[in-house]
Amino acid sequence: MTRNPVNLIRLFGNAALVLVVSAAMAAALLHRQDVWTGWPWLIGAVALGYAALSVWAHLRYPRAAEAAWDEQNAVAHQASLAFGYWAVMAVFLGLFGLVLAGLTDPAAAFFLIAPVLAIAPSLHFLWSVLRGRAE
Amino acid sequence: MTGVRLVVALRAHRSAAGLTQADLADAVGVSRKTINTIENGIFVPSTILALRLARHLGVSVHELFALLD
Repeated sequence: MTRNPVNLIRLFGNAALVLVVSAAMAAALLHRQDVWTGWPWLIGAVALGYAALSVWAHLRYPRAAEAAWDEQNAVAHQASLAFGYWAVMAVFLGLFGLVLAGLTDPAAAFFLIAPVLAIAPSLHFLWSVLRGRAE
Repeated sequence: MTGVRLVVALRAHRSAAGLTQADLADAVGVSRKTINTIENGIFVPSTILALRLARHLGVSVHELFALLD
């Protein structure tokens, strides 16, 4: 595993974001109306904490940040953003069809598209790390 | 570009220079994983990175990378 602090924060930040959003989605599906109202705050705290740690690491370790954003990692990052875009487009079209067919409530569709928007790029980047195409 | 294969001799030149992947990565400002994937032919570096690698190892780019038709 990498010892680059910027890479480590990016890896664990993305993983934490995927975990907390997945947990929130699972809780929402299991508990329906009684879902804990603190989930959005928890997700926001994780995301903001990740962002703050990332900014701190970039300022504290500039050489490590340069290596963390080398061309291979930049390619993996761009691919993750492209994947996120197409994932959201696909889910949006699917949910749009369900709403038009009267099978899903528009509010529920809006609720369901948010986690895809939030974690699809992170999931793709983690997959790149697992495949050895990023760090 | 089908039918063209890139031959990478980076590992041989790095070893000859007595450098680890981490040493070389640190010297040219990339991650160790990037050096690893270049050596294994998974990632093709930019011209700028290829020139940096060649300069640091004291060889020409042609000695590091070649096309096998």
